[in-house]
Amino acid sequence: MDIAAIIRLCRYGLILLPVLLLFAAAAFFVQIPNLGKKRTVRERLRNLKKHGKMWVMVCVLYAACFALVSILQARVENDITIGLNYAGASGGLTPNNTRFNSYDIIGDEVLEQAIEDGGLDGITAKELQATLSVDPLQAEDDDEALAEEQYYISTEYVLRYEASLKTLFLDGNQVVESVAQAFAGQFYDRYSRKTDALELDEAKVDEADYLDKVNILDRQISGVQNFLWKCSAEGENYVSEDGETFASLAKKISDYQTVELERIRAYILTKGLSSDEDRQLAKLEYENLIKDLNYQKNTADYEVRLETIEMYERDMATIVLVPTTDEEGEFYMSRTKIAVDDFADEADVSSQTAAKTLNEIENNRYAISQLAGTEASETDFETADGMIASFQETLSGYADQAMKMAVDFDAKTKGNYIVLTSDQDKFFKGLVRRGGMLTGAMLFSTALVIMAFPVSKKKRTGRVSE
Amino acid sequence: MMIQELREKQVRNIRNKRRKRRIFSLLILLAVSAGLAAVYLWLQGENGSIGITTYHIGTDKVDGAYRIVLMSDLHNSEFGDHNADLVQAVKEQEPDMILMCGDMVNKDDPDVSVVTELCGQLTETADIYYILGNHEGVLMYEEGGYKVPLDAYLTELGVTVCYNGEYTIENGDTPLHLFAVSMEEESYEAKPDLQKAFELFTEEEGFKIVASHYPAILYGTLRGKEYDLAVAGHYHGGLVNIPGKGGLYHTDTGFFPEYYGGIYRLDHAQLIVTRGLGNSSFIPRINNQPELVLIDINS
Repeated sequence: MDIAAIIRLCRYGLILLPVLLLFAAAAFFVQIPNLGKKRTVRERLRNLKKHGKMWVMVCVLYAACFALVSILQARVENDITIGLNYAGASGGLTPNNTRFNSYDIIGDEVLEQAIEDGGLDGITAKELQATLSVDPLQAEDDDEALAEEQYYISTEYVLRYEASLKTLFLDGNQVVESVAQAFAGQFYDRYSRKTDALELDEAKVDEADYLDKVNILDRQISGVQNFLWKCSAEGENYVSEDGETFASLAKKISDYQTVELERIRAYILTKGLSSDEDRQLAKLEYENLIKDLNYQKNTADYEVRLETIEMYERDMATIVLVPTTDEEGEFYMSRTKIAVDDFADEADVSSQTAAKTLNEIENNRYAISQLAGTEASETDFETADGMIASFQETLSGYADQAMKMAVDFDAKTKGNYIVLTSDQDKFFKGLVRRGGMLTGAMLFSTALVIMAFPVSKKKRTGRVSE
Repeated sequence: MMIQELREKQVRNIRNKRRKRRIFSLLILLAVSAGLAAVYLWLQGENGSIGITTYHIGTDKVDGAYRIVLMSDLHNSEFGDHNADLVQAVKEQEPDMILMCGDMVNKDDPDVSVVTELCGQLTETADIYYILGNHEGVLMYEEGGYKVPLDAYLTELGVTVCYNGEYTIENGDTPLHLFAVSMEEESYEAKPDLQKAFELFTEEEGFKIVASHYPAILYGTLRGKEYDLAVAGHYHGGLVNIPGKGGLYHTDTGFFPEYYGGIYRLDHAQLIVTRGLGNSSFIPRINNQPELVLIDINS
């Protein structure tokens, strides 16, 4: 039996004590002769007055014990409610639409953070984890089991702490507060908006060859665009101070990408610019080698499927044509989808993939011919460097603007993902109310018990009259 | 009475026989289990350790000595925490060059951190030349695949990624010439430009090394060409090594590939095929310890 259970038992014992005393008193009273008579009542009240001090002491002691046990219980047992306050919480999701796992609340990372931040020295995360549990919050009147169609995903969870011998020295309230705060902190870090796409690595561009620079810039600008489109999906009505929406900025960037990046690529290819021509040519040749294998595979896939369709279509069609009528009652031969249709779809995909791969191969061939066959001058390199630098500057400006807008939007709309509700005030008010009621009950039942004590008869001593 | 006794004796005999059979079956089962456990532990031990094979190549084309560490077919395996054992084994050899002959990654695993970490640690020891294998090709460029820019990651670490072509390796007054062939025989035969470049390579003075992931091109099309050393991997030592017979199987060659692993004589050169370090199939390496090859070239 753990400490929390023992203290809980003591508390229940204290709550039951007045009731037991009441029964005891009733049992005693029943045995009192002439109970209804005034004289008996007076005697009993006198009994009470005689033992008045004891009566008061017992009640005060009881009140003190109850308060002590309640406070101890709060130390060894405590809970806090963690509410999820964002769209998707009722679907069991996190803000970035991954699955929410309530057991992350008492995960190792969270507990280690809680131990560090809350000053919970002397225990390990595992020891602390053994004292914690997480359950969905149930309404107080929700005792009946729900039918299957009534099942729902909770958006509020109760984090409960029950002390073990190892954690006896910790304050229960501090434990649950620390764990809940650590969880909230990590939750915000993990699920707050990721802005990696806006942190542009210029060094990577500087180190790369010219064609690779264009590819890197293409990826970077696409990253910024995707970021903005995602923000737009969350807040399509958001308008920044300078009148931009996420969508309008993304469109602006897209237009810039289409025009400017292609201009740079065309210039590099026209002039045959490369900082390590041999390496770049070898790379493009190797890429074409692999793409050529892909092209051949897709072409073969396409031809095999056409052949299969030719072999089976006629025979299959005669089997699967079904006479039916349309909405207007007109008769026609309906055809269900069969394997031959799947082959046709697959052939289509193979053909499109082959065409796309061939296009990439041709682009590479053009790049190879330009790099190998063109001699670039110093001025050409400088012009290209200037174009790339200008592009980077503009892109950096767009990224900064996107960051400002995202920060502003989050500040206005995100609010609190996690709401923590602790019942400490309620606990102390409850303690006073409950303690008062129970002490009153104790007063009453103790009074009855004392009144039920056997009355001591006065010894009459004879007075000798003179 | 006698009949009764006889019957009892018969029943006892039958029961004894049954008990003996049960005990015997149990012993067989225990023996088989113990045998399997022993085999498993042996395989774990052997396949978790690295064997070093050393070859000495004598030549007057190199001043002094030149040491190459050759590895291949790692397939994202790890020897020790973050490949500490492999790194240690390489560092102990104090090589002048590290040659990675392809398939160091898995084509269906976009996580290339094992290889990038390994290369990051080994670039401190010697220059790394990385020949691309079939798994690298699929991982980097396969349509519908992961398109991981592995070559970019490796180049950032200072690794020389060898596509196809000649690379000159500094070695004082006697530089070495490396020709990388990152393609199979059929593809090479369709590349007249590359063939021309190879012919020019064979005319170079100095020690010439041809490196490819695929042994077939070396003992095939390039067999009779003028170079000094060829290195390759790909066959994983035939996976199962049968004593007295050699490697068991590879999908390219079928059963008992001739060039499963070891040193072989070509027309003008030596061909070293490494058995590799890892595995990409569900069949375990049996009697086929992961291999790190040390090639000492000296005059």
